[in-house]
Amino acid sequence: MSGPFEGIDATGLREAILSGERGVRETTEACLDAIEASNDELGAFLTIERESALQCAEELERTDAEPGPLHGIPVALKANLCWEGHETNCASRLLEGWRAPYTATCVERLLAAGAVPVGVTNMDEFAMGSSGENSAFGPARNPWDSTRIPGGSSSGSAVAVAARLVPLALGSDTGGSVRQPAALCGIYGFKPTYGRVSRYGLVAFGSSLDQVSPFATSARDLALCLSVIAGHDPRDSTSLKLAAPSAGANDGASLSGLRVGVPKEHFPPELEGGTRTACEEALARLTAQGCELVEVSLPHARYAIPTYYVVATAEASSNLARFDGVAYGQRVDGDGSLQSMFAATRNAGFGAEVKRRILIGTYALSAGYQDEWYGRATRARTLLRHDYEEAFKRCDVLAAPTSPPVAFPLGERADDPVSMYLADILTVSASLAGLPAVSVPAGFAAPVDDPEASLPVGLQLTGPHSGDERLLEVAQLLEATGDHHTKAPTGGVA
Amino acid sequence: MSNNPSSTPSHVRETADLARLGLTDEECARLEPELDKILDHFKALQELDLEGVEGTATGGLQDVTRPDEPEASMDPEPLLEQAPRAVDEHYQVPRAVGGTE
Repeated sequence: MSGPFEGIDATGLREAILSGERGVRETTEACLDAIEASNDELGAFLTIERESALQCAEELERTDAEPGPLHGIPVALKANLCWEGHETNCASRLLEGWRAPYTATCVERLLAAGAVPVGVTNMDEFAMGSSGENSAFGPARNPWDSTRIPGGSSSGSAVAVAARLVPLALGSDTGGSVRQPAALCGIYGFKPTYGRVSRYGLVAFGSSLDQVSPFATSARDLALCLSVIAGHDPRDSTSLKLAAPSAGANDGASLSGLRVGVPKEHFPPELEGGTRTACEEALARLTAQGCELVEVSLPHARYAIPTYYVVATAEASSNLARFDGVAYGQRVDGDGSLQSMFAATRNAGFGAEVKRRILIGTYALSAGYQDEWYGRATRARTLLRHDYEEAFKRCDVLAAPTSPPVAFPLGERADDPVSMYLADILTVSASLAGLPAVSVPAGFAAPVDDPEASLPVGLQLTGPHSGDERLLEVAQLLEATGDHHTKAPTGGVA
Repeated sequence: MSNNPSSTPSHVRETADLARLGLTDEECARLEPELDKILDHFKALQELDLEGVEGTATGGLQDVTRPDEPEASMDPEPLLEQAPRAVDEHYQVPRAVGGTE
């Protein structure tokens, strides 16, 4: 099941291309062939863009310009990132066939850096989900075991990188939609500080939470990707006025003396045993390198899920109001009136989870309930933010599991929205606080339903606001102490 | 859908109407207990002491302004091409007032 990029990350591939060891066109073709061969089974891609990818590769081979930092690197893009002329349907029937009329800033920056977009990846519809099962076009499957979910909502991008079909992919993380699938697929997923990467051209879900976020098979690749896509963008008014960091600036750094906070609420008694063990082993590797472990508390952690789901659905109900059959995608005529056209289009176009969230969000914002639900959630969000501010007085980074369970079987939680929402319990807090957080491969564990199986576990490192560079530095140093990140899925077809 | 578990299906219908979602009766009947269960889980928020706590709408952002100078806008043609229906330089929709024609 492993594709052409097993054993080589984007940084290594760039070196191989620049030294002449590999050609850009040859690399692109190998990538496209592997994607096409695997897509029936894995469902990672909604569209494979062979023609534009090969054209892009040929242009890169022809040009005399100085090679960019991602020269010739194939990349995959989540289906909610606008890419001019390409279908950007958010895995929704409502946007089926809709081709973006402009390109997102992050995609423009990838192209300018020499990256070769090869296709658009599967996802939970409008980024709402934690399993990938809410795609209108069928689920993506976990390459470690294709009967299991890869996590979500950036399911296809995670699968594409984990199966070594591409070395880099972009997703979006609103409450864990990159970190959680990264953990469940055994790769790196990094949500930068809110505002670090422009959201211009990202189809909005929860605007105060959404952040464009990369997947990779090495920590250094995350730093490389961030150095390309980060930086202020006047077209996104929430974009931070911080320069993009330079990649590879941490040579010679060490973990010695780093204070690693362990939030006790993120190691609850009900945490699956294998997940706990793998994360504790990663913490032991940190202490062996001279880190100091500090127990800290996030006292309002138990309010994170309700706070997140009220805030995110309220914002979603507003953001998704634009999908009404007028300007985008599909239209369903009702009884001839404008109002019935809106209602019929939205009911036919949206899937069950999107409707559920629009209803929760509309309710939480409706007259008579707004103070009780949305108002209280925004104030609870302040308390969660303060929890982190207090914790970071005593430590430099926080470490905890990314996801309580390893990859669960397809369909297991599909009919139980509350249990699905609880899959995000360890990732939503950093999103609400706007903090950078990265999921790093921490080992393998058996799922509760199959003691013989071995599935990836992720450790989540969270940093203080704007501490993205330091966080990725810690991820790279931790990477050097183990080899979990080098393991690629080899089969897994049940 | 309300904070009262004995709520009637009309709450889902009312909320769906506000959200311009034309749910079928079957969908309303299915969603009612689901949403009650979800909101019941979210009720933990009601127990928090939030006296004197300000809300956080976004993560500490400030208003951003720029000089009010004209800039080129996007060409309308590629936008209209992606619309379900367009006439000349306009989106076409059913009549909003005074009948359906």
